[in-house]
Amino acid sequence: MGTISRKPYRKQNNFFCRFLASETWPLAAVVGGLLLAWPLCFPKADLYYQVLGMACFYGVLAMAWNILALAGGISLGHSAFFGLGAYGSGLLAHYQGWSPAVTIPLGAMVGAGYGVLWGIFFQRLRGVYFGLATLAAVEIPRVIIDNWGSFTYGSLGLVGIPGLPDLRLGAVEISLGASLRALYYFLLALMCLAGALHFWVMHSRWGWGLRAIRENEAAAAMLGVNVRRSFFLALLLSSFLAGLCGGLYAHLLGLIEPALVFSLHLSALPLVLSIFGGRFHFLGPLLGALLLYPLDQLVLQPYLPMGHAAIYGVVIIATIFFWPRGLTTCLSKRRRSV
Amino acid sequence: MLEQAPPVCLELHRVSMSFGGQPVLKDINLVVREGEIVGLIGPNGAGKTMLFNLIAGVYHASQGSIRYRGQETTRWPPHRLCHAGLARTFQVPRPFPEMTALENVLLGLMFGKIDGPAADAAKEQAGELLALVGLDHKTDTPAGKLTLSEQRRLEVARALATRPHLLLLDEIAAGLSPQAVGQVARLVKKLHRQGINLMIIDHFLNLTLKVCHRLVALDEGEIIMAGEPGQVIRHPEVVAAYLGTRE
Repeated sequence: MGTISRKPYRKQNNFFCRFLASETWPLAAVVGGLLLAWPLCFPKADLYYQVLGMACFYGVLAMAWNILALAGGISLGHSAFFGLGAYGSGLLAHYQGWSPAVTIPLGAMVGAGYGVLWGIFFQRLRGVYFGLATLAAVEIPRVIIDNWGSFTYGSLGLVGIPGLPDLRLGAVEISLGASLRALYYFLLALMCLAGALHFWVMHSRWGWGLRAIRENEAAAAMLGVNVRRSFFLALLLSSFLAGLCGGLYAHLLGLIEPALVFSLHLSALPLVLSIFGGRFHFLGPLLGALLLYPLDQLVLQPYLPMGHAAIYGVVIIATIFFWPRGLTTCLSKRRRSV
Repeated sequence: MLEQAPPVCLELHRVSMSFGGQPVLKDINLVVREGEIVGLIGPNGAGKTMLFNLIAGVYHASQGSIRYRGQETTRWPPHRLCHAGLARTFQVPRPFPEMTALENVLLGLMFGKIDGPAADAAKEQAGELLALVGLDHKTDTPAGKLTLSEQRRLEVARALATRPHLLLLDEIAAGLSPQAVGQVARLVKKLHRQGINLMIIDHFLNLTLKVCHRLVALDEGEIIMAGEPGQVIRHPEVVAAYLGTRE
């Protein structure tokens, strides 16, 4: 038996050191390299640019969802943040004529504002009750927007939302509206940024606290984790990112309607992608999106145009049965969370 | 010349607690001084764990005040009390089941103090704490796969990782063999020698009689006797609380 030592701690908080020390950085590097390089070999693959670009986009949404799930908050209502982000950004662009570079972050803040309300009203709810409350909470903004026709155009939807602006990198001008390849790279860069944020959250002190809350809230509190603050911050970041996705979506599509952006499908999709990929690993939601979405769009939809969405249900059941911790279980030597 | 009493570590003044009008603790007055090991004994439902819950901030007292190291802490949340140096274990162990034993202890090191280190900086100390409770061979075992006795020891290591000044141990010796109780008693004495004050709940008295300086007996939410262990367990009210009275 030893004694309790009181040595000073050697801090090793460097983000890159941690990333390189993680088990999966080679895989992350290979996936990133492939995603970066393949368009150079296939310059005219517009369909693939679009599908993989949207896979990156949904990867960001899945990671947004997973930040809250890391603390045990299984949300069934992330489309509320997505929809509010979309309408926030779309309406600002429509009425004020502001650039999407301004309206998208503002739309994300509208989503985060609704996240604050969740944080206040749902702070004591956990588990099934939290899930049900989030599911119900989508209806509030949806019904308001649906019925406030004079401002939001109601169920007719908001059309004519301006597309993403051109980007200027030094002398190079990139047209996100005209080039699907440029748009793909833009969405890939966004996914990489979100992936880095997701990695940081999972491996930070705060992320450890979130994991502790997920596993046993009372024990976490007794070890010094500020449960309310940690959970609230996770909700805030998650809702902001989901709102950012919503704002981006409005400008990508150019039109939005309540039934589209507040749909159950958009609430379920990040959950399915995260569970399929593995929600305890920073690459899980991202891999889920990069594998499942292209599979759905390129393989299942052409052959099963009416019922391809049902495949998501089958996938989730199969994942729960065979890989309850998701595909990334195979990546972890110890078959547990990283 | 009178010997000066050690300073007060924890003081409960007229603390009461009720749920839905039903009193579960009534008018509790209790002092724990620096350097003391205090045992809480009593039959099932006496209110021992509830008293720990109030001290640790899990629930807040309906009436009365709790002072810890001179500060009014009656309504402090658990994490704030932890940062102030108060740690506890649970009657039914509550490990983080998906995390390894090492990671469970790391969390205590990371969060026990406000400026705790990152996980990678604290692994060495976590290993030392696991060795202290005899779990150094289970470092990489998920906590959910440990036996009940091992989970109890893990809870102690995890609580120690927060670097406590006052440690509340809830039924740490329950269900252990006499030999294992002896090991726990040695561990408790060792912690005490390292300057940690302890309060111990012990339903069957097999540990408290070995290590405690003072016993406090509870029954039906009230303190019925407090004092030297030998005196307390022979007191007729304590005997009656445990064994009942002859009709």
